[in-house]
Amino acid sequence: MKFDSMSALLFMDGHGIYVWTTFLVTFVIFGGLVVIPLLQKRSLLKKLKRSHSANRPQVRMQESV
Amino acid sequence: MWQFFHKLGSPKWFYNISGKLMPYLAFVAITLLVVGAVWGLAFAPMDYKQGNSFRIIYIHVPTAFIALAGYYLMAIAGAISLIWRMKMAGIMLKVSAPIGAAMTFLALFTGAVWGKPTWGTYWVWDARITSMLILLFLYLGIFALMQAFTREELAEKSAAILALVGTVNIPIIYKSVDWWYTLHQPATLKLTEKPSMHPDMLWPLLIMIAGVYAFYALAVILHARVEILRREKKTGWVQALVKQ
Repeated sequence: MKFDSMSALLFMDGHGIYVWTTFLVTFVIFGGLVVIPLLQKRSLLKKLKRSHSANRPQVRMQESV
Repeated sequence: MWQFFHKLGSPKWFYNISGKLMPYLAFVAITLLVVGAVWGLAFAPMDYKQGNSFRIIYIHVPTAFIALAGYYLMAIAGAISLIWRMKMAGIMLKVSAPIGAAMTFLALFTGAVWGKPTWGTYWVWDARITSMLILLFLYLGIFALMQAFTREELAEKSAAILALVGTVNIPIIYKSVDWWYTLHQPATLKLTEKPSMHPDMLWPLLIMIAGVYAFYALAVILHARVEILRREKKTGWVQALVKQ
């Protein structure tokens, strides 16, 4: 490692605040780009499943008529 | 070849094949990003002029690269959807806009934060930065257009046209550091010349670039899969998928 200690790595001779801010913001946005579609997919599948099972009795009724 | 082109245009085929590919892609992206970030943050040597603030390059350059490359992808998808009305092209056009906007925002944000210790200011209205800001607005404009119409066809057509017109901006961004007097430093990496960076600094940068490219592909696939399910929800194969 190019730094003597963990605190030196965090402080980076005064530039730590800039460097770590950019890495943190990037981490959050990258995380969002993965989590958002996963959540969307889950809620969409749930919705489709619900409408799917809601449609089923109608189909049966038509068959029995 | 044509058969492959045809398959590529089929949302069902894309959904299945991308589902198999995704775990590998995720593994590659995460590994590259972690290795590149740790190497760049802790093990790369300090820049003799800029000190430690130069480490922002490991986010700034990869995200700026992908912001531009992603625009090409989006514009090509727009052209294909205009000409051949291919389903997957329309989906790509739609999902690449918000991801490209996120990447452009990160390039601008990291540049601004880097500017403070290096130039003494977060923002200057110079050619490179202003043309990147225009790129962000183009991405946001295309994203907004895709949401603005209730008829998908109309939305796709207008977004595709805006994407194609916006390509004018791309060479301006590339050349801005050469054409105008600017605070922004000229390109560190060039295809035709030897890089001006020391290998110890260069390697983590190349790894981060590869990692961000892989991550971009992963994000596009994740978003595209949701969009495919949304558009194809009435088809037999999605119904069968839901039933499981």
